[in-house]
Amino acid sequence: MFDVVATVSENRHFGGYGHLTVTTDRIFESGSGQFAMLKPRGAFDPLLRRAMAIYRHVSDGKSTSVEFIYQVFGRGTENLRRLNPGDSVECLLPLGKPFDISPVAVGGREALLVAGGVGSAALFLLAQQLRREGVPTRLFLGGRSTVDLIGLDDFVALGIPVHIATNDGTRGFAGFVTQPLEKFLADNADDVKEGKYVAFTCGPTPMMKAVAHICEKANVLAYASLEERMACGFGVCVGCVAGVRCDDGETDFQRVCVEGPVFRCDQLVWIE
Amino acid sequence: MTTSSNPLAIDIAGLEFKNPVIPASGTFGYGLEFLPFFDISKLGGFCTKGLSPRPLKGNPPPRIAETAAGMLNAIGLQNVGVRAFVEEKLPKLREYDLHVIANVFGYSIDDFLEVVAVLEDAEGVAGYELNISCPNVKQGGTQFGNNPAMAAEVTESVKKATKKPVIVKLSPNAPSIVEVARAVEGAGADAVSLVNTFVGMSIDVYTRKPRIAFATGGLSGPAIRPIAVRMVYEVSQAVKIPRIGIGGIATWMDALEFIIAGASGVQIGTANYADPCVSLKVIEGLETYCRERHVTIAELVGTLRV
Repeated sequence: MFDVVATVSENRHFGGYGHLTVTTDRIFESGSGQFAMLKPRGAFDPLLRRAMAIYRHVSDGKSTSVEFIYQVFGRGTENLRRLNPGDSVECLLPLGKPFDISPVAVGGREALLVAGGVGSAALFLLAQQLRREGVPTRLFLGGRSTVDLIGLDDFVALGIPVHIATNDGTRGFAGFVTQPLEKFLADNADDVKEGKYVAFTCGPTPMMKAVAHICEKANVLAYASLEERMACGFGVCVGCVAGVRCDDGETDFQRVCVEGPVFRCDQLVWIE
Repeated sequence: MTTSSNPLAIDIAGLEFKNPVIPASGTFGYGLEFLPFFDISKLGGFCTKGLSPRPLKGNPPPRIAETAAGMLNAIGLQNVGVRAFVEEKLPKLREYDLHVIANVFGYSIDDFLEVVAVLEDAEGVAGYELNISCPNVKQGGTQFGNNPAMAAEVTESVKKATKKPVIVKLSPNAPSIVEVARAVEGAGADAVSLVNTFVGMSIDVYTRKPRIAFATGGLSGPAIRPIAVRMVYEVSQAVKIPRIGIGGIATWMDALEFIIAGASGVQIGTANYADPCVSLKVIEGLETYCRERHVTIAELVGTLRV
């Protein structure tokens, strides 16, 4: 983890989203599922940085490029949208614990990635990693409409099967992404019983909660990458907690930024 | 180090600080979290997260909401408990050259005394800051901080239990912060720090729910700074014990406002979240100001021209 001023090399806009690429001389690695805290250099309004999943990480030995895909939601993300190539960005990264792929990196198992909207941005590094490790991987990608299918082309380029769902039916299954997931699990009930699948999900909380429920019913191990409002991103404000069930049955509040952002779904206590 | 070689050196509550910059309780963890960013020995000191007799789980999320030039929080004093602090954090903190001020929290006077008793047996705590002003717990915080008599009682009890300096952190939500400051001075406090957060509220207009689960939260950040400066000025007129200014400090100029208003030290809070190295930048800015003007921080305290 370190704080670096990086330079914007590209900032593309589409729909209500932005795709930001920043470059720094600093050489480092980003683990799948890790994130950054970003704000334009010197910005005082809004005061706090915004937490963004690291979408892609490219290092050539001399410099590192990191990409983020964000939804323009409020003043913080609007400030990011206004960044131009050459502008400076304060980046605190890489933050959080990476995904643990050991349960799925076992011969014969398969990873099921389930993403909603911009949540897929937190799963692309994971998909790359799983491909690199030779783990069979498929993606269930949902969005309100075709434009909300974030990163679709990049996932397809990895060569993994993608099951698409849009709420308005403009592409793929018409409905929620959880429906193709349920159908897949039902169609492959024998493999499900043998523990072939491990699920990884990121997206809106109601979607992740539904995925957690489906996986629990089917006895499929599932991990969720949570999003929570953060002030610092490195553990001191204790503002971004999630309810986690402990061994003694009690609920503890753990920091999404340090103990997370990835948690086992069967340990999460979903708070509305 | 003499004052002439170090214009930032200052004495507060009987402790010599190499500079007046002290990250505020609750925004600096247990100090160790900032080691990836800078050498914490460069700080005058820091205030720990509020320590209670037993670990506290804190409030359910969401706990924070950003607001104009600031933020609301209702963390609920989630902390490891004083014993875990002594066993796990304090041994590592002893390796660094800065004053560790233990922020002490309790639901009752006995709780305050229990925390202090545990810390008295440990090595490495320079002094105490009594948190009688947390607005984000259902009991125990402001019931002391809003009432001069009760604030005096807890101060007096802790003073009897320790020879170390006792700083009392004041609530801006009290009917009269000046009255509480006078009361704790009378009860033997060595210094006061002010201000804690202002009780505030923010509402999501789509769900019509409060934006934090506790409904109300403490407002901090630059939004509160002018009110905090005014309160430090008023308290400085009313008490002789040193004041430590807190409230939305993000730059060296912000820090100097508090010092000129009457504060001997300053605490930096919310700004640590936006920039983990902000305290170092404030120290550097204060040093440049002092050297360029051939003045020391000690000479600047309370020099407002009115």
